[in-house]
Amino acid sequence: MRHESLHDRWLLFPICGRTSLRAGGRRLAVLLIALSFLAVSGCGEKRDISNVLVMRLRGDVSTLDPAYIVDVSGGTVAARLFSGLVRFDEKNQLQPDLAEKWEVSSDNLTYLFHVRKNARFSDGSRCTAEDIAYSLKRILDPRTLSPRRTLFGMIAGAKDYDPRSARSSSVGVEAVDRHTLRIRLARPYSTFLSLLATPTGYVVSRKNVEKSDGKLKKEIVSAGPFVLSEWRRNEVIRTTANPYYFEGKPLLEGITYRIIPQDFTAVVEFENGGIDVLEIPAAFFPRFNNDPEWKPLILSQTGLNIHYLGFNCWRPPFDNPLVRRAFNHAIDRKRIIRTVLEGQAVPAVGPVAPLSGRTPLRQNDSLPRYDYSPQKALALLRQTKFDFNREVNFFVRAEKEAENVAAGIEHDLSQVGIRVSLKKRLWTAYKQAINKGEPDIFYLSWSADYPEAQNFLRPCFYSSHTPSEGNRVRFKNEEVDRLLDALDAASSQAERRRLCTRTERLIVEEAPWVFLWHRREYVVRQPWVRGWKMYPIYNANKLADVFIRQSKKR
Amino acid sequence: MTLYLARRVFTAIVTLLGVAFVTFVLVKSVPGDPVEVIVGEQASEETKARIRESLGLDRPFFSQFFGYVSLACRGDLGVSYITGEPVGKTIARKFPNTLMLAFTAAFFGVVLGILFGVVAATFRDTFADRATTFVSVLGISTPVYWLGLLLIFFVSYKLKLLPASGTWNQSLACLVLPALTLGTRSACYIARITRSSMLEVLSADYVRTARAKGLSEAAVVLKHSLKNSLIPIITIIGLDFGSYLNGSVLTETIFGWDGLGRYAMTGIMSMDYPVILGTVLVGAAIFVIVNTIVDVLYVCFNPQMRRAGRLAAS
Repeated sequence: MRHESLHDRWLLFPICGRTSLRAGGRRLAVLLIALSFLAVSGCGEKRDISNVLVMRLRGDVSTLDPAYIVDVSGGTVAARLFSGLVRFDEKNQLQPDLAEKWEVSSDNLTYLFHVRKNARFSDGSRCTAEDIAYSLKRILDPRTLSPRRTLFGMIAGAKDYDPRSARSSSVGVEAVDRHTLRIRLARPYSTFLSLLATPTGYVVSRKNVEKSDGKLKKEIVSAGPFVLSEWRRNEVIRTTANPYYFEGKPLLEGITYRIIPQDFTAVVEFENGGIDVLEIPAAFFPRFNNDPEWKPLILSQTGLNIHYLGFNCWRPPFDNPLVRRAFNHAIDRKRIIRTVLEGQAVPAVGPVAPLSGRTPLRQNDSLPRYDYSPQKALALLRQTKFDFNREVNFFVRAEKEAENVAAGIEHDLSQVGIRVSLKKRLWTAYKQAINKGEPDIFYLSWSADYPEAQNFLRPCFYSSHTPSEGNRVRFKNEEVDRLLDALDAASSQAERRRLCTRTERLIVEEAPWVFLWHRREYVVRQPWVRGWKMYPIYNANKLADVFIRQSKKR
Repeated sequence: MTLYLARRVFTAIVTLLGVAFVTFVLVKSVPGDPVEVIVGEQASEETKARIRESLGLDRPFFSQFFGYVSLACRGDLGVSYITGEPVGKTIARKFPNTLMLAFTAAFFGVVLGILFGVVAATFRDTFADRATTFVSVLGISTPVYWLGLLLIFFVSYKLKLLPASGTWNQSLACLVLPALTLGTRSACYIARITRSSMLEVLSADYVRTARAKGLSEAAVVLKHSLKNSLIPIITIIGLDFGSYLNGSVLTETIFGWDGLGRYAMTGIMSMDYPVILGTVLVGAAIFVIVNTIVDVLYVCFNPQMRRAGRLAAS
């Protein structure tokens, strides 16, 4: 009976005449809205209430095989799956990882690592010195086609290593016994231990690699705190706690990485509780920073990076250091930081980011300063007879923030009469143009893979390095080369500090870059996330001490 | 009909070959080196050369093109440079997501569009008609990108009713917002087309005759008018559905929806040639198939076209 009356009222009655049709239209609209709300309320999101940390990735990682990782997001995810011989802590100090201790010979050529006896892979099998030797040799093996093959080029015999030839046994990586590994270097290399802490130095299970036809894909056996459980490309990466981790099972049950390309969507998901920890996208920083609810939950640090304006040092007039110094004086870094970057950076005085811990600290006071002074810039330009009618080709990446920075720089240069022609390119085309030497000036950044001053100085300013290796400005200075070679071989901290300071001073004087700023990194966490620390190096945070306060999680 | 279908299949093959060639030329002329994207810039030249050789990128252009076409004819769309996964298999895995989004968006579009179109035509020059016209013009003029962000802001952030991004936890709730975003524009178009098509039919002699015979208004509107207004509506539905099945880059990116559009976009950004070519080819094939179905539906819905087809055949 009730069913019939509903049928009459809502479906049959409205379409019986002109007047009833109008009334029926209204009723139909109300019905539709009601149905929509019913549908909506019936399909609420399933919330993850377990002790699993949910994080956001902007894009999928290309690989999780340590031999092929070249991107920061891949290295970050892999850091929680794998272990290396050593790793960095939050103060940039080297700490034991799979190696519980190590000894270095007096000539700095031989390293003896003592591998933990309780080290195991996630399948329960033992992680031995043989696995570590295999992992390092795999990188050096030309058949692996590892893009990082040259990273360990200082190991004795590494350059000629080829397991197919008879000379393969001469490579300086050797498992002395199940728990002792010896590495011999061809020449002393002061940052060798730091290189072992990069994702390329992570240890893989030989059995696992051979079972996967030489390249790890989705079935990954690892010796880190977490183990890969699911990887749906472009959607989600799930990891679970590794019960065999040598430091004991992590406090979290797992980590879920949700791949969300859009910053706005990620911010909404975070504020709705769907993400536990979020790297704050630059444009959303004021939103979190001005919100009293979120502000106490923001963590920050100055990143190991440098943003710079590079010159094509081979092309006149930029082959003249005076012109380059003039540009350094012409740009008001503090204003751009304030207006474009919302204060999320600190002005740079040289190429090396402020570091601490193992790396020699830069003696800031000893470096020449390029204060903002259009007068000084003009005087220097007139001294060099700079052609003010010449348009300077300024290349910039086609991306909102970079374009805004470029506009700020263009404005400052115009104040001293320099005419700029701005050329925007997509990332790959942009890098290609720089590597071919097309721009006069370009805006770029450099981030460190390990916290050592050499990781800024050698790749970016060593003359034999190509633009694609980091020396984008084609800088050439024999004294800098000599100092960098000496720095590689130096063993004492005092000597390294002295050499670093001298090298950096020389570079600042030559001014192949306008040293702009070091970006700060900001992370916001949910109140229920505990034990989160900031690590300057992207792959140092293993998340083994992080946990979720269950009672507070929505 | 057989001759007609054979002609359509031949045209489809030529179209797909043309699409493959144009895409190949475009992809190759874009600046940038895919090998550098794969291994990073700092890899040695030797490693880059070996990878270039292993991917066949050192071969001449036409050798690469015909090699690709010959593989594609055998159903092999190659292997992604970045992930190492077969492109055909990945497309097959992502297609259900796109299909689900396309069907839901089309459902929203068709149901709401026809409903509002019929209401607007039936109640011509009333408040309902003006409101429908206003909303549909607004919907057509609203960029998909902005609508998506608005929906996320109000429905997900303010009202906390639905999740802002989807497919990761395989919950149906994730489908609603992207489908609404994708389907709204289509609904508005369909509403406009339905209204004008219906108005034309409602003033026809046979509708007046139907009313004079005492048929109910429901029968007049739904049976005699709507059915005869369907041809232009089907065209719009077909075109929209074809584009939905290709994946919507913007909607899928905003909502983190793992469909073909986002896969194509990832391929473009990472210069993954097999992914770009595979997604474009599959997209073109889908378009051709959907258009063929639409053409067949024309014939089914319109007796005049059926007769014209028979006459042409004889």
